[in-house]
Amino acid sequence: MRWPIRVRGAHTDPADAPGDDDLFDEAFQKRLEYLALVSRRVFRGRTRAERRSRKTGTGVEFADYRRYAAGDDYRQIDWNVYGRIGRLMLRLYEEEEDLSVYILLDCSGSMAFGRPPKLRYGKQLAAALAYVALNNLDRVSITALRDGSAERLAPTRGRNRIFTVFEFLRPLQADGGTHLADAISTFAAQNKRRGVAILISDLYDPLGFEEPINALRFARFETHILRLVSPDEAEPNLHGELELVDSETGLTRQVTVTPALLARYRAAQAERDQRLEAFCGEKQVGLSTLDISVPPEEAILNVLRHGGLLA
Amino acid sequence: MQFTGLTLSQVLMTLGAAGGVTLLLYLLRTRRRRVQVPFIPLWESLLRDRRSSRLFQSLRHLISLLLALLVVALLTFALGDPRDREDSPDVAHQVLLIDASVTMGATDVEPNRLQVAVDQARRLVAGAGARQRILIAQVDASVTPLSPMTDDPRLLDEALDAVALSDSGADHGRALEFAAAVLAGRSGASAVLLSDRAEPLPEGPAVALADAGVDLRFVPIGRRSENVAISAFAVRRYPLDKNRSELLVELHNGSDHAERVELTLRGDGQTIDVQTLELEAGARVRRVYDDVTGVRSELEAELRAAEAGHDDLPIDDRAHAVVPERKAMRVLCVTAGNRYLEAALLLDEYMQVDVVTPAEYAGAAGYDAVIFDAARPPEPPTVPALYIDPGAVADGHTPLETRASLERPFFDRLRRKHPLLRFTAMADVNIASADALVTVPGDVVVAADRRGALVVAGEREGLRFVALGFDLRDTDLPLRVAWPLLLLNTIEWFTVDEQEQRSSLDVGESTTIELPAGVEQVTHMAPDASERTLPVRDGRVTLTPERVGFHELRWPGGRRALAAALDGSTLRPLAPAEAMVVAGRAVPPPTVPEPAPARPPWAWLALVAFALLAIEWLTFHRRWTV
Repeated sequence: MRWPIRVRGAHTDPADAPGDDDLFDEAFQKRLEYLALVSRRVFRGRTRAERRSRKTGTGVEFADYRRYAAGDDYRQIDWNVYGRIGRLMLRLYEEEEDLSVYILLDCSGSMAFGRPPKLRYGKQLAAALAYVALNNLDRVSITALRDGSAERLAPTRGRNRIFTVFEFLRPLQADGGTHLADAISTFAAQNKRRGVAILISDLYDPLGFEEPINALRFARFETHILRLVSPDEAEPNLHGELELVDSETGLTRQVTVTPALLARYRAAQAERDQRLEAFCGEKQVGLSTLDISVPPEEAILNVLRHGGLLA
Repeated sequence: MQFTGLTLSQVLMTLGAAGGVTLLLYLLRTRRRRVQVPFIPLWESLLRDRRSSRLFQSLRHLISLLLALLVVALLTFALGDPRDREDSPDVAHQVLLIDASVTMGATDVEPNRLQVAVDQARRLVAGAGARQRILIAQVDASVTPLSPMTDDPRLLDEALDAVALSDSGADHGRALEFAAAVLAGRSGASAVLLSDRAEPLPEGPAVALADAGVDLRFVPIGRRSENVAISAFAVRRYPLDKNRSELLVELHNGSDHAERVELTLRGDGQTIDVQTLELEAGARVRRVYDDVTGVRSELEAELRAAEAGHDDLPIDDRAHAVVPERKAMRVLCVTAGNRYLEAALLLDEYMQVDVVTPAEYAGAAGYDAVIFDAARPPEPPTVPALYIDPGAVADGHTPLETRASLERPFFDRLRRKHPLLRFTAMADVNIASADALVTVPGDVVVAADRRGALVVAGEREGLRFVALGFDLRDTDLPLRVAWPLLLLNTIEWFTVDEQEQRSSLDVGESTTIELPAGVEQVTHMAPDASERTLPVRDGRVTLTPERVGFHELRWPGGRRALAAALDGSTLRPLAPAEAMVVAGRAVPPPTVPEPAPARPPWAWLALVAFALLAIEWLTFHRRWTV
């Protein structure tokens, strides 16, 4: 017989957590098919896709004119313009290209916190985003961040690759430290092709959240942060003489939780949220704070749409 | 301060144990629960600010522990039931004496006088302050304390519940002496007597009360006196015909108006006579039934109002008596031949007489009495003896020596109330000659000529004797009725215990009854059919009847019926006393204060403890002391 291990505030019993076999059901997948991933920047793609690129090329959408230069394809010269102004102008068309979507999933120990665990919630988000991207013929890569390292699913495309994504996500466990900055540096080194980087994390990094976000920015990724928050950590139901245990490091602290201390905790949380929002706003980094008590379908369909990540 | 619950050492031991347990529980309570949090650095930033107040936190923890220990200490001391010391000058002491004698059963007040007295006592107890100790005692023929000197309302209530009506009278003198003894040396001493009687106190109790500094108070109980009673009821067997009995009934009307009553007599459960009598106010009426035959043992009289009337005391409407037992006697007659003597001895059919000559006499073992007619035994007899003309012979033992011979003496002096002379007329008996008897101190001269004693009764070594200083044949006494009566009275005086001849005992009066050899256990059956075993000592059993009615003693192979009647002194008019006078001063009634809740100190300690518990609970759950 196996006795459940219950530690207040955390949910480490595997039997207590929902299984990963039901990351998506069929109805959920159908609803996601109608969504498209948008990006405020357009990046150059290696193959044609359903996304416009600044690169002028063989597309059908007119983009601009420029002076003819030696070596240009004279088939693109607009002779009507030459007739009106007497200069050779070249017609430029937008070329439709594919988009690289990088999903970075924090798998540190703190992601085991919450009900359901934040990691499970993050897996569902990652899988959903990957599905949408693959459905739009984008290239999707998933990276699990843990202990400063980055375990990744190589960029892939095609709708049928979603099962590969599932296979990658399913065995991921929440353990180890965070060290997001190191892990993201590793990720940037692995992925030269720029694109949209979606970081799914609770941003509980002892070194702070600024450095990892800056690491993505400096690597010229269009960065979106999906910050996962459990109601238990926003409004902890704690009181009395307690020994707090860090779910990631195992570090303990003895504390007497009083209403005053809880108020100060809430104030500290709010101040941290405020600092994060200000930082992301200043650096033009998309930030969405997701409550894991909200069903993931609702989060993806509503919160992300309103946040501008989905078209 | 003294502990009336746990002793001081027990309190300290309990305090130590409970304090240790409290400390252990406190340490267990302060063992911290482990709680996982996702990001402890966030808490650390808060804890850094709180380190400055850690000393205050520790102090608050200490306050919480001290509160718990204080609660434990208060509850432990409450278990000790601390009280003011008995010798504290602030403590008042009071003895409540509740008369539970037979007249307190009168129903002139509802439901009866005793219950009214108990209710009054309950009011006094309810009004007692926290610094007043009370002892409750029941007063009847004796004084029975029913509670200790205490301020515990529960004990006092139980004592008041235990007060029970008695069939005996009340001994107020003894009760007040008891109160004086209990209150001697105590502060604020007072005694309250609740009774319907207020006889003038004898000097002893009054002095004892004064010496003890007792403030005596009196609560009169009762309202009126309407009572018709059987004031006397007795039966006896005729001396010469013990098959017949004589019965005396006396009725008394204590009311202030005439009463018409019906008197019923029952013998062995069967009604033998019913009479209707008219009793004037305050009258005493006697009826003598001079020929009660056919009744073996028990006689009962019952009085009822012939018309609708009111009788406040039902218990004296019934009276009980037992016909004295007839006892067969063996008498040895030592005589050379005396027709008058032998003829007189034949009169009592319950008497078995053996006649021997002086030469044949070999002792009187096995007889109830022996008669020496002109004879003396060689050794003092082992049974009571009648000596007739002991001066006729010179040798042998005699309890009395004889003096000079008297010519034609007369019975100049007769002790008429002596049992020997009962029903006799001997003043004119002619005697030709007689020897004067020489008495010793303790002897009783029953009849005497002015020149010397002629009939003497006395005791030698525990055995009764009677001596006649004359020969029967020298007198005309044998020709008179007085002779057989004198002889039978003498035999009866020798052999019959006066106690056994009484038809009833007074309630509360002890009687000792000889038992047959070998009886080791006696069962007493009271009038209410309750049974108990009485101890037997030296072949005797002692019974003190506590209830009016027929009592029965049973032992293997035998039984004895006894009747218990109200003590004559209790059968006085029921009129309640209005005041009591001691040393020429009327005893005032006690002041009955309004009932005040007198909370003992332990209750206050417990209340404070619970208040502290509430504060501790509140501060703990409000997180003020954690």
